[in-house]
Amino acid sequence: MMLSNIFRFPGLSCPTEALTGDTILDDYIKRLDKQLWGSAKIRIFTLAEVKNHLVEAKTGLMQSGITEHEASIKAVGSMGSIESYSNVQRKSLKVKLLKIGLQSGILFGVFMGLYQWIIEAHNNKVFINPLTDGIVYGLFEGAFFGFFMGWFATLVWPERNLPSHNIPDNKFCVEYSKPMRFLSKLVIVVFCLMAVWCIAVSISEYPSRVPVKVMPAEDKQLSSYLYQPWWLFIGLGLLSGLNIFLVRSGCRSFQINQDGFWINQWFARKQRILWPAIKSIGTLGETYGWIPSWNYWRKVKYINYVLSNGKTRRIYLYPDMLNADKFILLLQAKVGMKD
Amino acid sequence: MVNAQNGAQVLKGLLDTLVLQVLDTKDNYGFGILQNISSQLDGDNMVLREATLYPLLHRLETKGLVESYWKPGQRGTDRKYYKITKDGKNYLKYRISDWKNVSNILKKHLIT
Repeated sequence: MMLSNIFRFPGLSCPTEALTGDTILDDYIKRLDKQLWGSAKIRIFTLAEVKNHLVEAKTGLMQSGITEHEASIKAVGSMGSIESYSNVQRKSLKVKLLKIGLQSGILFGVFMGLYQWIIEAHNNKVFINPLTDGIVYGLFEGAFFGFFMGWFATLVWPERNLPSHNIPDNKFCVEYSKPMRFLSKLVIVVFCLMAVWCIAVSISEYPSRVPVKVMPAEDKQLSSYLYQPWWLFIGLGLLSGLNIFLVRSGCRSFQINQDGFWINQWFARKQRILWPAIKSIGTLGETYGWIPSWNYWRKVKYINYVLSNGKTRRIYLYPDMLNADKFILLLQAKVGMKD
Repeated sequence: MVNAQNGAQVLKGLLDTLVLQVLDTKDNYGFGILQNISSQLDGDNMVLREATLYPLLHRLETKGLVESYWKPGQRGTDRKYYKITKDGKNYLKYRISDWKNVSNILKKHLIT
């Protein structure tokens, strides 16, 4: 039980929004929850779907005339074994964990390995030789980083959230502000430049490099093997965290009502746009965007709209957005289409 | 009883096609898909059970044949809707054409 809880942190107990209030249905849901992996935010996706099915099935059965108690029992009976749901969820999480872990681990490991190689080529603190140390160090760092990123992005933090109950017609879209887009791209560029620099320096230094004086055997300590400039390591870690933060920060939900529409940003303030403030709806388009999926570019639709103060804004409508076309039509109907 | 069981076995091979055909008509959620297929099979709910449907939907989604999205449900529960993709539509056409060929061969050689 303790081992499986490692994959269920944080939020070990069944999320309350997954419960129905019916004892029989909730018992099934709680038993299913115990078999699922991921934090409460991850598990809720499977639980919500099963909950909805149970409630619909029970309601249908009650409408056919049987008692509530019997309907609950039959609804649970119709769902089948818990393992058929939990196995699917665990398998998909394992695949995602491996994919994200490998991608991030390889990227980070290659970079850190190259950096270690260059550092050791320029100082006397060598364990075996700079190249071997670089490879081993890169593998170690890559494995550690890949495992952490895979765990966090797969088992802790979901790519998207469930709709909020009390917001009608709630949909998800992504809109990045210019500073966030710029920062996100800057992080990638910095990473690439540093990798290129590492490769270039190591190639240029290699032919003329004087053999490095290897430390005497008694001086070979683990600390020297793991020697690194901590300021750069911390800086890279912060940059990676910032990159993830920026990727996640674009998620928004929005609501359309009589007054206008408003956007919920993941970490920033709610932004409300009243219909009178929108001068016109501009053109639609498609582009590739870095969206709240880790390390994925996807083709997305966008729609431009112009505010009364002349500023142009853009909303990205992602493939998993609910009724994207309906939203566009609604905006156009409310404001009017002007190219 | 034997005939019904053999028929169910054949239909189980068609489950992905049945599900895609339901979604080709309109987007639907798990319970809705189940009800739709059950009504097409004259109320026979032994062919496609819940424990089969959801792993099947997940498999179709992994293959890119369907996409999913969430919507607040009518009774306060969130509903996960499934939508067929372009690849799904192509796959459906291919499967239907396959089964038509099989059906023609069976008619020609067995039912004479």
